[in-house]
Amino acid sequence: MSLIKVYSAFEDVNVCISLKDLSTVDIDKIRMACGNAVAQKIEKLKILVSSMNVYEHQNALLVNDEYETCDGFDTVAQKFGFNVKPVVLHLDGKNYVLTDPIIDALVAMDESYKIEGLNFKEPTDEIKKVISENAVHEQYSDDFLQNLRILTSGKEITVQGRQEVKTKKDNDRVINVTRGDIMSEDKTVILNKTQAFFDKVQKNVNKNNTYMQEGTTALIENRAKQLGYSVQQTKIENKQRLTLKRVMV
Amino acid sequence: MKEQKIIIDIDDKGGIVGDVIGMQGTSCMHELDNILKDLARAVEYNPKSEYFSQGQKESATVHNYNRM
Repeated sequence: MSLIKVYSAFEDVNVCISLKDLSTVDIDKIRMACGNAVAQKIEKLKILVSSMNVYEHQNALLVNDEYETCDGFDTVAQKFGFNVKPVVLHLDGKNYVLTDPIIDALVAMDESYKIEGLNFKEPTDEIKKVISENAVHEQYSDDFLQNLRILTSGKEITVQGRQEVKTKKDNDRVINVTRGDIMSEDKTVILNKTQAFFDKVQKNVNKNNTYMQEGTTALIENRAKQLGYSVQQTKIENKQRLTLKRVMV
Repeated sequence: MKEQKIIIDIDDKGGIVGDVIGMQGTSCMHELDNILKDLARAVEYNPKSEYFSQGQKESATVHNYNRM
């Protein structure tokens, strides 16, 4: 007499995760877009800080406007998309700590990333301390950064998952074994966090053209006012128009 | 008293076009240089015809392309 029974059990299995699991993420394109966006920002910042002292520490900047030559520096730098925090320290003039979310994203993907394109002065321990205490960086957990760096370097992460195994037996004779989908909460969490990171990076990069336009407009407006012009700003389609007027006696 | 007027358009990629009204000859270029200096890698001056006949009309257009 035949007696068929189905036994169900869960087995622990290893699950591999790679960036290929996120079909919307093209890491090379994202890196290139971030690099281009940062290069544009730094180029504009270089103009702004041409008569200032700049110190770098842990991918944040301390800008020292020793002779207070740039009134409204913080407003213009913010328009270019930088986080700007005025700080007080022993250096003369006005001082600001600058960070940038796209630079933070590049560092998150590759901890060896360094800001280039500016002439940095060597920071003292006190300046380093001020930068560390005031830099507004994007916050990521160590676990997330470790996983992100493995994935963006093209390697895989192995996590634990569970898989249902159904064994069909006729009396004690196994007649069929089927395996269900692998369930892994760890995989879901890592992929969701990674996707959220890249979505945010993409959003910041997409805003860069707006930052370039608004920052350039603010920079010109700032200069024109210093030269004695009255400035009126209007938006015409996709352009910002500045009308500068000055009466010559 | 004479009014100097400069109109500057900034496009959505940070490119700049400037138009100067009320200044003669090279003075309008110098004034634009004061304001737009170092803001673009490449600068192309396109003076209007009036630019060459100083003292008649006083205007010139400067295109300051940002080629980053």
